[in-house]
Amino acid sequence: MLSSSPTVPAAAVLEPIEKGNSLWHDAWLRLRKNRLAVFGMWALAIITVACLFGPLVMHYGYEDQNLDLGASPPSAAHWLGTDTLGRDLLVRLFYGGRVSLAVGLSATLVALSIGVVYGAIAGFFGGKLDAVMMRTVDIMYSLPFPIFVILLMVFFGRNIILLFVAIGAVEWLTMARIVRGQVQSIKKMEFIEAARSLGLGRRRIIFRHILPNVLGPIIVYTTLTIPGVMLLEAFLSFLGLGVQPPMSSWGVLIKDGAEKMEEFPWLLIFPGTIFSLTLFSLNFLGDGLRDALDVRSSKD
Amino acid sequence: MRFALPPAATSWCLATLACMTLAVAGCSRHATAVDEGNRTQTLHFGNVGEPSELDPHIINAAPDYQIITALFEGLLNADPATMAPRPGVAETWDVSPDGLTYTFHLRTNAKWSNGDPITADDFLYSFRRALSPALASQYTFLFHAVRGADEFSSGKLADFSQVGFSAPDPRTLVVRLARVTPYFLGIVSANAIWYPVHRATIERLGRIDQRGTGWTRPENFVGNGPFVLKEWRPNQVIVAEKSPTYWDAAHVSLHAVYFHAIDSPDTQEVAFRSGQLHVTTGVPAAKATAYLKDHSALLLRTPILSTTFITVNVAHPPLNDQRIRLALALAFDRAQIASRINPARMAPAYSIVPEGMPGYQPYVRMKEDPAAARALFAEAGFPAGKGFPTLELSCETGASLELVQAIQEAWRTNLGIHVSIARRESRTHWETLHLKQYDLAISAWSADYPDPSSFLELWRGNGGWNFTNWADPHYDELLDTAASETDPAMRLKRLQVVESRLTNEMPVIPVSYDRDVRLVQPSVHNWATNPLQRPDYKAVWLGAP
Repeated sequence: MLSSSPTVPAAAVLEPIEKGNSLWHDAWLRLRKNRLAVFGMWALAIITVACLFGPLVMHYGYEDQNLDLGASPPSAAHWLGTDTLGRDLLVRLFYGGRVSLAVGLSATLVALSIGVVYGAIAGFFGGKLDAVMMRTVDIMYSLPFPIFVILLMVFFGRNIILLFVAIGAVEWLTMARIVRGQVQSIKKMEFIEAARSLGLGRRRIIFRHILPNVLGPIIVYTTLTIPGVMLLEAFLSFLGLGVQPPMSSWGVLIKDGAEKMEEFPWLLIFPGTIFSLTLFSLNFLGDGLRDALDVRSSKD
Repeated sequence: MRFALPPAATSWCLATLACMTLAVAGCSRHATAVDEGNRTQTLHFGNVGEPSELDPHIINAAPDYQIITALFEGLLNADPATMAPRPGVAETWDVSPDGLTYTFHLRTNAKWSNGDPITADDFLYSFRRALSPALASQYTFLFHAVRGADEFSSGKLADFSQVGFSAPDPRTLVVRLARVTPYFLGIVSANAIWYPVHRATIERLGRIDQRGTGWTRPENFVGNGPFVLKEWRPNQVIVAEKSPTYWDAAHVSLHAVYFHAIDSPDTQEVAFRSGQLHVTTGVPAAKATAYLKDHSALLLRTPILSTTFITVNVAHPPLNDQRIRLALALAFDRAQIASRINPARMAPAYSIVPEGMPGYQPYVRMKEDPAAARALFAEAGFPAGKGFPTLELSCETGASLELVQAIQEAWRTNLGIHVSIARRESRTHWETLHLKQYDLAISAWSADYPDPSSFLELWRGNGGWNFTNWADPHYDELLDTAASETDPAMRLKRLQVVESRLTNEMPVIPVSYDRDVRLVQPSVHNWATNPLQRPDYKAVWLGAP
């Protein structure tokens, strides 16, 4: 656990003069004051809970069709209407949310862990190691990235778990670059010198003193990655490599809705609204977290 | 044109927006391609995509056929409405009393686009090319009726003079058939593989049986149709201009045809609405329904000789069991599916041979019955679908996902089985079929000539298009019996027996008869889509609606 503020000289940690608040506690206090961030948190929580438990209380399954009904606007029986095959849109939104949120979070987590470690190592050690590592990233960048995912999918077969991993495995490149740049600037600061002169190991310096200082950009980029990943999932599903029909995801619902928006606007409006709301919430939360976690911001 | 503009459009902001839209529309009004085209007799045609080739002996995809009828002309043309043979390069023709020899008399004024006259030798050369084993055309089976053609195309016969074609003089072409084929003229009039190609051009650029020599590039192109290739911008547009040397040029009204390569029907519809296209290919399902309701005059629907069906790989158990195949066929409601998914395009199909085949009554005995389907499943050892493996239903990425899902769901609710859906890009999809690495696949076939045999011959045990692994000697025998029947009416009756065998064995499950659906601007006159979907640009003219 990261529990001490890295700006406090290491010597002070050894012999605390006064009992200060932890970085996390400070951050939490700051975050709570940010209204938009709180709104984002609540919205995300509600959407997630609804997607997880909503289907349990619904009368319809995501694949139950009612061809005689066809596409119908919102009504008492179907709160958000039905699609052209007479399937309840609300249930499909819930199930789609499960897939989209799961893909978004887990793929981002994969990207995050690879990208941060990779970037931090390249940035900290510099020199030849850095050159080799970053050129590798450049090469991977130059691969057309949907094709890379498709290759992975074709190679490992169609499988939703692999889809998470495959997307994560290509999304970490930008993260690695951002982290490397940040690490390079931070490693020249005095407190790192101090940590070094105290004889701390490299691993401890990287993970305990440098990374907490890069958290801001990492978090912001993470909140940007999640929507990107969700959209990529929609693209792969369209190519027949993502979720398989009749299962839905938000991306799939939006794509379907966009095709029929002139005739059946609710098929686009509701999934679009929920998707945008999720993305906004993620961004608000990300913004709030960056401000809250910025160790350089004044402590009051 | 808009759909369902809400009545709330009276609020001032929307009104402002409307004014702006009108202003923008007013500016672009002068520039629409359709208006400009109407003035200059230039037809803008929305083609489904980039053609693979413009060589009449090699083409095999739908976009190719939309263009080829403008660029070439065969011995005969098919009547736009009835499909009856009409004079083409051949002015008249005789049939011998035994029905085995056809003599075509070529018109004297038929010319290539470079001015060379078209002679019977040109046709001999073209047929030799089309049948060359090295050219490997996929449609050589359309020469099947001609004596010696199969042997020559399979390489068993090296001497082309022994094939049943001869040219006693430059204006006469004689074709000898292997057996009586009542629909022979139908084949000749509707298929590009029977079109002539320009010998000097082909030989200047390569061997007779060489593919991809570039002779169809605009700078090399020589054709004999009412239009001649002027420009080919890949994935954008192909321009065909009126050919001054065409024998009937006096009756060709259009100055040029632009074939725009637009894959998506949605994009085509938008282009149509914004005045960029005169004629589209296809209409998105949901929009077709809206047009049907509000603007039916713009929506042209033509019954065509085409059926959508599910191909079953009978080598994959339990699909080897006829009862299972039958149950799958009985367990979804075609009428409901067709009316819900794409009423403009689909009509429920209970036979493989579509309605509208001249003189033929399709064999329709099948009756959907979920209870009977369940009983068949139980009998075959899968009561309520228990123990049934998860099969894969393949389709192209362009296929209607709703159709596939409706069938999937009907099988789930009626039979208790789960079928997964595999969408593949078109080329991969067909490759999977050719390699027979699939369980069930959505497929469609359009007739090459107006006769039931164009469908029924597909499922011969050794047929190149038979992807089912279903080889039934009895079926082949029935086909042979029908083929050797000389009385045309009796022959069609026998073909009905052939179809009954197919329907009982069910290696292919009929889903829908298809219609050709497209949007046509009111300024387009004489547009006709015949049941074989061979457009005839010759008669089309543009003018005030």
